[in-house]
Amino acid sequence: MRFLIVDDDESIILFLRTLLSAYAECLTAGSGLEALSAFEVALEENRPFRAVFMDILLPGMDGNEVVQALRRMEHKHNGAAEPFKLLMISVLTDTRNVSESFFHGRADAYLPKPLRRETLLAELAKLELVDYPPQAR
Amino acid sequence: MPDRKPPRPTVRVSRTLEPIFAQFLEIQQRQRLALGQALAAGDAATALRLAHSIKGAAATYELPDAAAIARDLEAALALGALALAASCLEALAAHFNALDVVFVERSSLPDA
Repeated sequence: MRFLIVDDDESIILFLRTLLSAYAECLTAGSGLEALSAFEVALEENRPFRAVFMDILLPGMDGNEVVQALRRMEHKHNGAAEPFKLLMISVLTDTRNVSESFFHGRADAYLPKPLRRETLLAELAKLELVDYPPQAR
Repeated sequence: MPDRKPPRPTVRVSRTLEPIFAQFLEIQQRQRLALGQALAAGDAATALRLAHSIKGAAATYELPDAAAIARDLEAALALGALALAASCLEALAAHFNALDVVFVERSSLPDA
């Protein structure tokens, strides 16, 4: 399983990559253009991302614009395959940004900063991307 | 002479962050330096972007007081108050320099 983490903040990338590497191979991008490039290569190599973690405030293209471009690329490449899970991550929780993420980007979850390990893993479990909390034995 | 230095602020942070905390502090130091350079150059847009990043990162790494100073810094920059922003940046650097972090189980933190 592969995850793509898109954020222009090194500290947030460090946090997410460290946490998520236990569950998937993680690639990171610091801008929308880097994200588009990584996503395209993954499709060409037939190693698509199972989930994308997308910040909204990015230099150049914002996260919502990037997501819509990723959805177009995905549809063009393999419209029938299961779409990637999208988790938007941002301090921006205003109605316009949240609506745009869910309706235009088809987001599966919206995680406000500050990020918390437990909240993030619980959301991933809801999306069946991780097994959390661990099953009671 | 008695030591009259104020006590170092002790912050309790989740143990799960311990392996990456030193790296986080290095990143923050670089970002504060870049922010200071942006302020000196009058580049308010870059300074604002960095202040916003520092605010979000400090909160994610469970440093609410640092996040609050960064929020004031961001607000000052949004208003174009560069002198106030510079003062906030100094306060932020002083806060990080004096920081004493204790790693604890997440369940023992008040917001757990």
